[in-house]
Amino acid sequence: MRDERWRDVTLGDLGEEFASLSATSGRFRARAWYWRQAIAIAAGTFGAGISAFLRSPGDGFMTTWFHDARIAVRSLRQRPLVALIVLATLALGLGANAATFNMVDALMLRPFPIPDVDRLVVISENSQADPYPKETVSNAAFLDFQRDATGFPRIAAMGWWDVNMAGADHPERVGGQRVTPQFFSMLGGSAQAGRLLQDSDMVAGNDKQIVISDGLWHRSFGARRDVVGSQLLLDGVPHQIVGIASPGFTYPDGTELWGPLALSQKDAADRTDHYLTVVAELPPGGTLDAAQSQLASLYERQRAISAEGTRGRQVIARPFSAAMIDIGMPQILWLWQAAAVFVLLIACTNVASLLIARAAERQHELAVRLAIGAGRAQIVRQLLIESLVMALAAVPLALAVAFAAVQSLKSAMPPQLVKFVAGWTHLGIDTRVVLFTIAAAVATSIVFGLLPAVQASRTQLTAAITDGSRSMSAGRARSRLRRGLVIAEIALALPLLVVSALSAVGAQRFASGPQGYEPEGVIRFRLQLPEAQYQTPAARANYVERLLEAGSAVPGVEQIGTSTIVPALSSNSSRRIAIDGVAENPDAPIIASFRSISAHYLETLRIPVTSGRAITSADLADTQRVALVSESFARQYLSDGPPLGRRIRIGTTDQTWATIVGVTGDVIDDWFANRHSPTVFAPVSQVPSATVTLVARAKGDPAALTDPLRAAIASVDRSVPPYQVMTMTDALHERTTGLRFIASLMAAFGIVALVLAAFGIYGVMSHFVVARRHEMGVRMALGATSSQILKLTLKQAGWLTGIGLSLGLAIAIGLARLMESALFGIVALQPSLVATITLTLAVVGFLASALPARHAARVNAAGLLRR
Amino acid sequence: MPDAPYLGELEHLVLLAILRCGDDAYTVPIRRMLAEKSGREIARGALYTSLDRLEAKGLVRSWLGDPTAVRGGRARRYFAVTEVGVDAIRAARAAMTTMAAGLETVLEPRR
Repeated sequence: MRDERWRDVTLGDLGEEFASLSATSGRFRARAWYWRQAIAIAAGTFGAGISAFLRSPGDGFMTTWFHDARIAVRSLRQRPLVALIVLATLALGLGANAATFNMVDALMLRPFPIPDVDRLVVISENSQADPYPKETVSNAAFLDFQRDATGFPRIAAMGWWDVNMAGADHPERVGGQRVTPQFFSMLGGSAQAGRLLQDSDMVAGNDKQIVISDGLWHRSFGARRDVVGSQLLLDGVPHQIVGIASPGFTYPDGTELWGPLALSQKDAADRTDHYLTVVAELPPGGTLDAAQSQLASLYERQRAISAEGTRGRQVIARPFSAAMIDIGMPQILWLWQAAAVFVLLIACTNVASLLIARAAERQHELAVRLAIGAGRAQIVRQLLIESLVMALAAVPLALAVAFAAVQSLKSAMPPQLVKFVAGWTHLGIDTRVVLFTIAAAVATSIVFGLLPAVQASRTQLTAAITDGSRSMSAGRARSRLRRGLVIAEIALALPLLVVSALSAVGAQRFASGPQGYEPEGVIRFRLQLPEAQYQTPAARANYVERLLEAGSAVPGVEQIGTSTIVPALSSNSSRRIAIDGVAENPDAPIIASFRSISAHYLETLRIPVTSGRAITSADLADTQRVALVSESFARQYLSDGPPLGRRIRIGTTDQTWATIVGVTGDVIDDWFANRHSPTVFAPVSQVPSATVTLVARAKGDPAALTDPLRAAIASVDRSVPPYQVMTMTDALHERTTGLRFIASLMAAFGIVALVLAAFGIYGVMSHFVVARRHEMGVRMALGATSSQILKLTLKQAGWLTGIGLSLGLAIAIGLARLMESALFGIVALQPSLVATITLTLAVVGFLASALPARHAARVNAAGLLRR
Repeated sequence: MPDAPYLGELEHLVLLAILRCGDDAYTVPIRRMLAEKSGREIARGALYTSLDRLEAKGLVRSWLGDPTAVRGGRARRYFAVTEVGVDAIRAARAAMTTMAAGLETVLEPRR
């Protein structure tokens, strides 16, 4: 209520009148009257109360704004349909942005729920030879940094340590990490039972201590309290469980057990093997630059110690969140955000054209306001506030759209992938999203509201008041704006459609197009030989031999083979390659993917041998050393002659030359950094590995081989459990989930854009045509025929469409080029696709102008002029 | 009386209603009087605003009466027209009369 003094009086008045009314008309009617009065007072004085409150600080600024907002609400309620369309359009545009912002925010800006994550940095020895930056450091370099880098209060290292675990309910393969003690406290891990790792565990000989994750504790140990202190065989070596990590702590990437990073004296001095991930903490208020320069000077000292380990490398400290995010993730997220912004811009164009149409209808009202003394600035402000009110009203709807979108994204992502996407679990609408959406709404209201508002305030007084629709001078500016909108609408829609179609089609093609092998009918089993039992190359080669023997005896197996790495796997293995007769460049060594394969492996997967021969069972440890290379390897490194008969050296430790006896077709191993990567194959008999993947082609359903092959594998060695057992089709499907995810999201953006743009183009075009009906009438009165009018209108509309399309095409091609490089070649500019989309938009533009033009041309001149 | 404040039409009517109500001039009868005599149902808020404005101009003064049971223990707010208020009514009336003089043929109520 507007005034404290009136409050009691009003309530008293109501009570008194209620009493007299109930005496004359009965209690029931009196009660109804009372509530009607109370509600009317509340509604009537609520606004006044706020404005009184706003007035109190002393200036009228906020009051006028509030007053304008009330007028805005009223004028929107007068045209509910327009308001509804505007709200729906804005909700869609703002909602798409809220959803993508949520993803950018949760997955990229702060994906790790770690205390003080902003002070954490990742240190890496980057090499120019690496195809993409890896966050890795050698043992000795880490120890140096740990000892000498005083700029970091805390520093921790971790290294992959996947193990075969026996001693639980059943043997299985478990993802683990070797870490230093600071690891847990820096990354927010704590123990729910027992203890975490400590300095005394880091001593070689006392290092058989592990901490297990809450998930592993429940899954393999039935959540029994007494597992702390119990023994467990990891890769055949007994370890003691000293603690259980708190629920939810699975850093990094769903790790299930952590062991101490205890380095032998020999390992501690190693500077050539860069495999550790090193995380360091800046002091409070410390800067990245200061830390970086200290690291750089320390690294110069290390260069003096080991030229080989530091050659071509530089030490770099990067913010933790930026360094730990998946390769390609920022690009994809920015692509989505950019697509969402385009959707919003198209929505803005649609709304702006509606507002201009509305401003034309309100010309009379605005002119009257100008006449009774409103300034142009006041009119602009009033119209802008109407826009703001609309945009803000769309915020709840937009949040609902975003909520629905994020929910469906979350349910579309398979759980086995979720653990690799840092931050995925805390996707959801939160305060930051709400604030972002409000800010976006305010910005949006200016984008779509400013031009129409400025334009409307230019109303010519006399002309508008006498007869708004025939004012020619104001019409000229307005029609220029309309033309601009037609062009903008098309120029915005085309790039978004092109980019979304390209990435959708591109991703789809990679996920379901030719892979370079035939995944159908094949099942795979991953195996890891424990080093303790398989120390010698001979033992490993012997295992593979027995494995293939047992496997090929299983009924239903058509072909069987092994490789260290098979396609559609999340891991890779590579070696430094030397070519006989080619001088090695130590700064840019040749690094190629490496596969140690058995006879019949290529056959089993149907990887073609394009020249020479495959690996056979005649290639033995004591026969001539041989190798196969992929076509991409031959093309890239052996282009100066026929590859067959050339000699290569694989890795840095083995000095023997291997002769190239065959060339294989290229295989898509992974879709981002490593597609068609140059690959070298060697017989497993000559280069045995502890990493083995068994693949078997079935005569019938490959899944039916799961159990018989498991039994065959167990019969060779019970202590080597198969893991990640699945058909190649399923593996490929899982591996490409991310891609298909990108494809479907981009397709969704494309569809939203097409719908919005089709409506928008129709809207601006028809408005452009309709607004010129008067002119058409004049022309017809002067003797122009209907078909001449139609032709004239279509010609002008055609020009606008043409300009819009050329502008849009230029933007589209620029964006597509940008994406080609940013998205690792998923997107390739396909002229046919671009042409189809351009043509589609041209047709939409034509129809949007032809329909209203034909309608207008049919009406007679008198009818048009009378309007 | 050239210095008398200008009166809006509603203010004019409200002042007259207060005078007519005499000693019983509090909000409820004032509103009722306006409705009966002028045939205009005035919104409660509009009346209160108008009364506030009149008091601010010094044309009326107000005070709170004793709380009564029928009002749920709340007091009535009474109004009285001040000297200045009476002057203003006179001035408005005089202006009206002067303006209307000679227009009797037009202004006489039709039969």
